[in-house]
This record gives sequence, C-alpha cells and structure tokens, in this order.
Amino acid sequence: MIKVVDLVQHYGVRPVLRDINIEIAEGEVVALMGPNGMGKSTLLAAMAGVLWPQKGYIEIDGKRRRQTVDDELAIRKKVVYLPDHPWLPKFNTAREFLLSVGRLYSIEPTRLMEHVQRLLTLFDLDANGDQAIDGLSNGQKKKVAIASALVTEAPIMLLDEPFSGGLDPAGMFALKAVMKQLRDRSDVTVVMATPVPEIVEGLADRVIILRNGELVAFDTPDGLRKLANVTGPLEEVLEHLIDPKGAENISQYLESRKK
Amino acid sequence: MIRWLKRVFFARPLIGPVSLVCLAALPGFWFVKWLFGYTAGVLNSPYYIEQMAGFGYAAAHISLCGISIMYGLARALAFHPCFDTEYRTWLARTPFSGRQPLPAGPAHLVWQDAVVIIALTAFGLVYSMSPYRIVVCMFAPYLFFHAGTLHVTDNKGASYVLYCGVPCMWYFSGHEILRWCIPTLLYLLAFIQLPRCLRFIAEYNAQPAEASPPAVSEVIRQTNEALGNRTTVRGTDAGENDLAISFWPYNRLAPIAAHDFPRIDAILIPIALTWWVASSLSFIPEDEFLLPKTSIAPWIASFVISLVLSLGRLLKYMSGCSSPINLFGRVATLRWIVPGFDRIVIAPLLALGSAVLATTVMAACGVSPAFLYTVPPGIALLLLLNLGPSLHVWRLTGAHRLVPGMASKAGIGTEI
Repeated sequence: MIKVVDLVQHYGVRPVLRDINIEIAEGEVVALMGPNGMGKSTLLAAMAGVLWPQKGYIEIDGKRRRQTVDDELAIRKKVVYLPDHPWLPKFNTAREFLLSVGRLYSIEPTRLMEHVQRLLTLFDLDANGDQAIDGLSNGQKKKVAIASALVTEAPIMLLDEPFSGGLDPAGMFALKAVMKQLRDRSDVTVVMATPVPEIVEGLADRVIILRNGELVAFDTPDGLRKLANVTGPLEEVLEHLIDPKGAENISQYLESRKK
Repeated sequence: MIRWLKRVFFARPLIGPVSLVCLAALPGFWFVKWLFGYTAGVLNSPYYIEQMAGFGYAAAHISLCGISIMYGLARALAFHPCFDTEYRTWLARTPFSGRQPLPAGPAHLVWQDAVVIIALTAFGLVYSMSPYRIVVCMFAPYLFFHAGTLHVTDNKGASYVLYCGVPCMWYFSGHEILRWCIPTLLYLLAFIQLPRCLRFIAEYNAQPAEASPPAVSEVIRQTNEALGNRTTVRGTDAGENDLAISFWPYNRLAPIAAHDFPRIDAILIPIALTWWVASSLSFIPEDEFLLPKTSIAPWIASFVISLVLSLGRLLKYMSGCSSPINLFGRVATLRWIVPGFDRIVIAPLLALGSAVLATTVMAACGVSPAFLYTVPPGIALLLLLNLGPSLHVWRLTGAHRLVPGMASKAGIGTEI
C-alpha cells in the first residue's frame, strides 16, 4: 500500500504540491493526470523517494520513506521508478543492462534471462538487443527503459509517462497489454502519470487528478463521471475536471481564426 | 575486447580523443620520418636511419605512457558511480547495496585490464621500455581517482593512504622488490575499500542540494549552532524538526554558515601535497636544480609560494570583513595595531617566517633540493590551514566591519 500524507513540495518559491493525501491499495492501477507543470512528476518522484518533501511523508507498506537505512533499502526492493527521462548506460547493450537491473532486484538468474529475452521480443528489440544502447533510436531507448522497469518484477511500479517519449504504436500496444495484465493481478500496484485519457479508460482502477498542486479528485472513472456530472467518455470528464475553461478557450480561438 | 575498450575510453568526454592522439603519436612519427627522408632523398641513408632511431624510441615511450595514463584515468572514471550524477541517482532508487555488480560495468580491475596491460607491456618491450613504467602510468591515475572517491564517501583514512601511496610508486621505482609491492598493496587497499564506498553511495540519497535532507539539514544545523539556538517548528522528533525547517523559505532566508576545514584534511592535505611534489621533483637530477649553496633560489621559492598562500588566506578572511580603521586612520589615531582584527595576520606571518626558517635549516642540513623546495611551502600551508582563528570563529567574533563580501555580491547569501 502507498500512503501519501500531507505532502507539500515547493520548487524555490513556486508551490507544486499542496497538502496531498492519498492512499493507494495493493493491486490497484492508478493513473495520475493533470495539466503540464501541475505536479504529476513531482508526486511520483516523492513516492519514489527521489524528492524529500518539505512537509508530509510517504509510506510504502507501512514503512516511511527515508526514515531508516534498513527500511529504505527494504522499500527500494519493492519499488521500481521509471522517470520521464531515465538513465541508461550508453555503451552497454540492452540485454546486458536488463540483466544487470534484474540482478540488482535479486531475480533468479535463469528466470531473469528468460524474462529478458521475452521482454526484448515483446518490444521488438530482438535485432537490437545486443547492440550498444547509445546506437538505439529514442523510441527504442524508451522501450529499453520500460523493459528495465518490468524486468525488476517489483510489486510497486511508479511510471512517469510510460506511453510517451517516442514509443511506436506496437510498443504502446505491447505496454498496454502488459498493463492490463498487471491490473488483473492483485499483488502489483502501478501508479503512472499520463496525459492520455484514452489509455486511462481501460487501464486504471482509479484516477488522481491534480490541478494547481492540489488534489482535485481521486476516484474510479465512474466516480469521476458522477463528480463532473458527465456521462460521456473519460476524455470529456477529464476536460471538465482538469481544464474547465479549455473548451471555451478552444472555441474562442477557432472563432478568432474564422474572422 | 574492442567493445570493452570503446566502453572504457568513450564513457567520459575527452578521454577517448586524447587517447587516440597518444595512439597516433608513434605512427605519426614514422610517417613524418618517411616523408622527410623521402623528400630529402635520404630515406636509406644509414646516418638518417641512426639519427631517427632515437626519436622513434622517444615517440614510442611518449605514446605508450600517454595511452597507459589515459587508460588508467578512463578505467577509474568510466564505471564508478561517484563520477556520474545521473547514474548515482539512478542507483539510489534501486536496491543496490554496494555488493551487487555495478550495472554500467565493474569499478575494480578485471581480466580485460590485464590484457591491456600485457599488450602495452609487450609493445613497450619492443622499444626497451620498462614494464614498471607502464604499470605506474596506469595505476597512478586509477588509484588517485579511487582515493578521491574514498575521500568523498567518508573513508578519509584509506583515501590519504592512497593519496600518499601513489607518489611512492615512482619515488621507490629504483628498489627492485618494493616497487612492485607498492602498486599491489595500494590496489588491494582500493579493492577492499570499494564495497564500502559503493555502500555509502547506495545509502546516500544523491539529490540536488535543495532537495537533499543531509546537505540542507547540515546547513541548518550549522546555522543554528552558529546562532546558538535550536529552532523547533513542529513535532517532537528531532530529525523531523531539522527537516521541517530545512526547506523553502528557510533555506533561502537562513545565512550560510562558514565551513571550517576539517582538521584531518587540514593536516593531511599539506603533507600529501608536499609528498606529491617532492617525489615528482626527485626525478630531476640535483645538478639541474639551482643549488642552495650557490643560490638564494630556494628562499625565494619558499617565500613567494608561502606569500601567495598567505594572501589567499587573508583574502578569504577579509571577504566581507574589513578592518575597523583603515591605514590612514591607524596612522592618524596612532592605533597601529587593532588586536581584535590584526590577529588574522598572525598565522600568515608565522607561515612566512616558518617557511624561510625551514629553508635555512634544511639548506644547512644538506637536504636534497626536491625536499628543500617543497617542504617549507608545505609547512606554511600546514600552518595556514591549522592556525586560528578559524574562519567560523573569526566571522562571529572578529573586530571587523561587515561589508558586502564576494558571496553577497554574487547573490549567494551572507556567510557567517
């Protein structure tokens, strides 16, 4: 379980998150949505222990992040964090990197090698799996990064915009299929930031909506429909909740172009 | 093996290109030799061949030494997380404990390194180059940078043994047994300490200073100590209090405490530095030095170096803290000495005096020029780093006038 309590984060004088309180149950897939620059990545980074919040704290399975060395190392074994721009070793091959990440998470070697091969096949990296990562395209690098998160078999996955960053349709389809499978599992918790409502619709058990650093809503897609008083697709619901003036701005702009 | 070399040499900028330049030195020389010989029509002249042979050996030695140094440097920097912030940050998010293999590559030496050393040694033997020289050229930068990683990961004892041990490799190069023992023992020390260094990195949350609890809370702790108080904001847990006041806006508003040099560094840095320079100068034949009996060069060298160091300390102390009365004021009021302010001059004067005195004593004792030129400035540096008042005490208790210092002008904040 992930528990975020009274979380406050500033960057310099700019408040990014204000008094965020969230509880995510084990086995849930939660989507984190909101306009750009409103704290999605910051919230994920705080959950991942990358940021130390100015106020509040994060608990993972009852243990506070960065409270004691032993607790923190125990949490790190359970959590994998995929940032928007992940670090990848330039001159290692994708296979070498995935194997070394798996070893960090103490995956049994035979199973690890099989899993790595399956991941390379899944993301269509069979032909490039044994060449240096530096020579791969941006989309392929993104696939390697996603595979490096999946290979850990960590029960808690924090993914920052996994569907963006040059992923091709095949990659998106593969990742979506993996996510769907993870959603059906009760032992894997996923929190992912994504700006794409279509992806959220079929994947997320619950959706967190952030606006101006505040928690606007944290509910199931149906709950959000009730909250927004909209019966249409989730895109429409999110438009109402995330950017109520968005539709008005669009129509104003289009009108001005007509003139 | 080619991929290994590519990984090692091109993991950090500049090292690869410089290594390629070193590698090109020898074929470059042979090409130039051929070109000159061919254009002058003396390519097969025995005199020309004999003349060029000596230059060929020198070019080979320079090339091999250069490649060895670059390989040692590359090997130290390529895979160690201390030298790559992104890598270190990434590791800090994983269950890495310092015992598992490093994902980017091994920081300790492996069989590929042995292949490189053997290849370079074999090539060196063709040009009558001592294998020991290859080993020293490779191990010196490798061990020096490892010493740096141990230093920043709070293992100062081992780091200073390495810092001081590296020059021993060339200082004792004339000793048949000792010269092989020194690099072996130093590498063993670095190898044994490596897991501890990596564990420190694993347990330390590598973050920008603004977000990092250890760095910021340390500043706040020092500030509170400097102010003689302890601000409590909320809760009862001590750590929580520290962290609660560590961040915005407090980290912007709080004055920055002046850092005193840790005592161990203040003592060991001058010693290590002196040993490095002295052991390097020991290669220069004595008759090429300006001999002390016939010249005042050692005194001039000691005085000038000590003076520069002393002025450096004075500038640091006087940045933001001016004399309460300027020179004309002192003359006019007949207050030649202002004890509360002028005490900062005592250490520099003592350092200068000690350096000159040490030069005189050492010259009288017939100490070798390598040490005669280096030990007196080393003594001066030792005194400057250790004699009081400490910067922290001076900023708080000195009889000075507070003026905008360099830090304030740069908008960094006011040191106290």
